[in-house]
Amino acid sequence: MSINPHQLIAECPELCTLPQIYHKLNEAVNSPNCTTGIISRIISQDPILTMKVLRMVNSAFYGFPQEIEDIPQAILIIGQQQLNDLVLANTVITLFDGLKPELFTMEDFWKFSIASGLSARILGDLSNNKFSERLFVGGLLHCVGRLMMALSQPKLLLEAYDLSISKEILLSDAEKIVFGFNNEEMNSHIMEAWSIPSSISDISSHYLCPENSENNKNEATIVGISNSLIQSLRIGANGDYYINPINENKWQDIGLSTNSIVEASTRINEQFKDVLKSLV
Amino acid sequence: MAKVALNNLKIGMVTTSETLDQNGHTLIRAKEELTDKHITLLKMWGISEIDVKYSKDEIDIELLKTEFSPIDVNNATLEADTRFKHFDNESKISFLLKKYYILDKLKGAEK
Repeated sequence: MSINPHQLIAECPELCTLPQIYHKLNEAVNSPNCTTGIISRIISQDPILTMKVLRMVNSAFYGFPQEIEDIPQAILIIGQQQLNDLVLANTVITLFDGLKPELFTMEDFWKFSIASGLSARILGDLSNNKFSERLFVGGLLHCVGRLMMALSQPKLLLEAYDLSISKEILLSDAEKIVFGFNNEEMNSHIMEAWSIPSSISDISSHYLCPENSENNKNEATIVGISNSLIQSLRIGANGDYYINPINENKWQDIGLSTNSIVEASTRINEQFKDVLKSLV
Repeated sequence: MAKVALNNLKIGMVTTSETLDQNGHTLIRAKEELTDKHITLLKMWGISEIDVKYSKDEIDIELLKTEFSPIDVNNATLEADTRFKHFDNESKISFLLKKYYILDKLKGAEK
C-alpha cells in the first residue's frame, strides 16, 4: 500500500487545522505592537482555555509561591512567548478530544506526551539550554505524528507494531516499511499544516535523528532522551515496544550526566500529576 | 558483580572488593570508582583481574530479590532486557534507564 503524509492528513480534515484562537494569539505575540491587553482579550474569548492556562501557571510546573489570578498577571510573570506555548499545548490536546486510537488509549498517549514535555524542560534546565521553556511544548508534541497515523490508519499502524515485534525492530523503522515514512516525518507534516513555528517543529520532528535538525540539534537530542526516559519510567504509552536507544556520547556532549537523569526523574515524579491535571 | 580481566576494565566501573598487592597492602579499596590511575596501578603490579560491577548505577538484582519475589525480579529483568534490546548494553544510560524500568515494573506504580 502506498500512502504519503499529505494523504494521511487530508483523511482527517477536522484535525489538520488548529483553532483560530491559537493563530490569533501567535500573530499577536509576534507583532511589534503586542500588548498584555491584546493577549488577555484573545485568551479571554475562551473561558475553558483561560481556566486551563491559569491552572497550569499555578501548578508545580512553575512552582510560584503566590497564586496567579488572571491572564495579565500570568503574562507578566511567565512572559508572552511561554503563554503562547501553553495555549498551543492546550489547543492541540483539545483538538483530539473524544477520539479513540487503537494502539494506545488517548489518556495514556497524553500522559506519555505531557511527561515527555516535562522531562524535556527539566533536562533543558539542567543542561543550561537557553530554550528550556520551549522544550516543554517541543517534547509534548513529538509524537503527534504517530497519533495522526493511529487515528487515520489504525490497521496499518497495528501492522507496523506487529512487524516491530516479529522482526525485533524499532516501531519507527517498522513504520517506514509499512507506511513509507515514520512518526518523525509525519510530525513534520502535521506541524506544517498547523503552521507551528519552525523553532518548535524542528525540535519535535528530529528527536530520533537530532543531527538532521537545522538549528536545534541539542534540543532535539533532549527530546529524544526524554522519549526514552519516560518509557523507562513507564508513564503512559506512545505505541513503542522497544525503547529508542540513546547515543552515549550525545547526551554527555550537551552537558548531561547520569546525575542529571536521576535529578530529572525525581522532578518528573514530583511534578507530573499536577501538570497532567492542569492540561487534561 | 564479576571478575573482570585487566584488559576489559573501564573507567567508571566500581570495585566490589579490596584489591591487594603481593605484600598484602591495599592498592584499591572496595566501592572505588575506577580511574585511569587505578588501571595503571594494576598494570604496574601485574594484577590480571579484579572484582567490579559495571558502575555505581548498576542494578543489584540480588538485593532486589530480598525485597520482591525472585520470580518477579527475573521476569522484570528479562522484560527490560528485551525492551532495551537496541541500547548499547555497555552504556551508563542503558544501565540507569533499565534500573528505572525494572524498579517501576516491580513496584507496579500506576501513573
